[in-house]
Amino acid sequence: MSAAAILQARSVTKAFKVPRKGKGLGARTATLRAVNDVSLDIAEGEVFAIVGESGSGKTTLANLLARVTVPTDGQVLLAGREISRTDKLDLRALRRDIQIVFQDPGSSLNPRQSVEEIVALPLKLSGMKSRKERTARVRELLKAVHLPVDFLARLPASLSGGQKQRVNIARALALQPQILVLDEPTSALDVSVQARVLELLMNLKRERALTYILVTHNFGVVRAIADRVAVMYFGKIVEIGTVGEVMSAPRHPYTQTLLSAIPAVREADRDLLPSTEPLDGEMPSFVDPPLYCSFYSRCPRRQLSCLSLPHPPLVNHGGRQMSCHLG
Amino acid sequence: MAEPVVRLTSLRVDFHTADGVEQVIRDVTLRIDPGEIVGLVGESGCGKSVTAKLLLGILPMPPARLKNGTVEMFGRDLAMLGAVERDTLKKHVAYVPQDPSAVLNPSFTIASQMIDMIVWYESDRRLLEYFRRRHSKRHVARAHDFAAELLGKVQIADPDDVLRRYPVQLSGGMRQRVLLAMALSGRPKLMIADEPTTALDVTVQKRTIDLLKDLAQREHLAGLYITHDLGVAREICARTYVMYAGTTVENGPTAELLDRPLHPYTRGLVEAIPSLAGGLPHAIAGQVPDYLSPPPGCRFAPRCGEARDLCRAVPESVIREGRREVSCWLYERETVA
Repeated sequence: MSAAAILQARSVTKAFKVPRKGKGLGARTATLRAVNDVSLDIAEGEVFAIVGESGSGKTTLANLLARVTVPTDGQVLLAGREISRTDKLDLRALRRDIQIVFQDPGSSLNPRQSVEEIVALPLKLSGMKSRKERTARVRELLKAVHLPVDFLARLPASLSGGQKQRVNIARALALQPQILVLDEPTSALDVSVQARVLELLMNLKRERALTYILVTHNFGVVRAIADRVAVMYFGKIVEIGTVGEVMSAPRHPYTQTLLSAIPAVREADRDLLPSTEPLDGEMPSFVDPPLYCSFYSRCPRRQLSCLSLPHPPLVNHGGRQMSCHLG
Repeated sequence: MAEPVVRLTSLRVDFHTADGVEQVIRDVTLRIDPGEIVGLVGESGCGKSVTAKLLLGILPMPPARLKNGTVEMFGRDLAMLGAVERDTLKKHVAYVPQDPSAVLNPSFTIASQMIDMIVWYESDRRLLEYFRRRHSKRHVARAHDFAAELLGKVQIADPDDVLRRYPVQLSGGMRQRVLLAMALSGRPKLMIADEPTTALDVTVQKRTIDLLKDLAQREHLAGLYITHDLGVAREICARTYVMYAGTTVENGPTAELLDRPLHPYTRGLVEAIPSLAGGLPHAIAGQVPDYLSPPPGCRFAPRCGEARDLCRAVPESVIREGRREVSCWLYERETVA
């Protein structure tokens, strides 16, 4: 896999300092590891999904991969070149390779700019000086995302949710990147609109040989477009494998819990899901992480022996990487 | 059969705006029987929340105007009642909102907010009486105990601890339970829930749904559950109404309705959801109509693959298979003996 890996994370950790006790001079801080020692390889041309609940660190990981933030530890490599350094890195050049489509199509568009200005901005910043050239390029991009050309002068407020997300996608594609990070690209959209956006994303991927990093909590979307999936819990990947394998035979108790909680629409879909009863526990505290397996508090399969062992490493269990002592 | 808790008949609501008259609700007909949780599903802008607001009596009129139809609650026609009687009825209706963090005040503890509400109900919504009781130690202590009891009902393990906390100190699931407990404080008979689990993670959502179902049964609540998530509707609602562009197009037992949809819109909606077996979902072509000049006849006709000339007239709703109802020209009235 690593031969064709376009983007790699090598034990990346992102820690934040948070105030713990007291105020002023006596204040003490604690370290919160939102992403904790995560390694992964993303192959060229694949759709790699990161799933997990809120607070699992999936968005932080995506931000690290897209070089929105830098890790406190570890490296992120793009085609073998480290992009997680803070010094002497040409970020504008990097943006030609990696772009992001944000979750909320409304708040990620400037309400005072026209569609043309929004989509043309990355072109302008990357040095395309001629306005004529930029407009021509924006027209092409609108066509690529199936928006009518007369949308050029429209303001975001006059667009529907699905149309706004298309503008977002057009802007992300403006510099012809190789990799798109899609952070919950359809979760703010209605299902019938979601279906169209997913179709568009897959067409664009085929036409432009793109690689997608998809952050989502929706397994339906993962099943529809992703090739591989990493399940995150408490800042770590607990299971990683191809979508077909992970969803039809989840091995980590957290993945099982997550899948069994999906409210399936069709009878046929319900039969595909495991029936694991989740425990009524809470996610442990990030400032005071447990020394044992971080899923212990909610694990339906937990054993007393799990308490005496450190958090299980991500290792191969029958062709799939998974982190559980019980295998 | 017992008197329905809610009955909406051929409801039509227009909104008078600067741009003209928006015909938002064209024909909503809906019934909720005692002890039954009924789902109302549809995409954004279809009029789900307008229907809920109308039931709660909080739809601002104007701009809205009830053009046609009747709203009956507990067997009484709301249009026939005076303001006082309407208020008395409203006491039996509880509301669970979508986003718990937007509703709870961040500056007050859970105890203080719950006591406010309980005392308000106990004072029969009379302001002076409320102030008197809110400052009486005896009343507040009693309300505090009742608040703890309510939190117990929504399966909060340590009510006293939660009561002492501020909303930010609780998880999303906990906050939603607090709101559920608050909704119960008026001892309601009907609960209207507007996307109460949309902001929650799936595992928390599952627990909240189980709790809601259990609660409805124990407290003999009838409920209207508004959601855009058909899977959630399947989990919680015995019967579901599908709404499109201000019209209830189809209703029936939820599982049957989703596994064998009759109306082309319901079919489209189900097919637009990604299957867990894989493959890209199918989108519904076209756009939701403009309410300023909606299409005559069936409002789904312009997007419907099976539209015919007939569809330019408004379809009547017909009963199928005994307990299913659909408004579409594809179906003819069943001859029932």
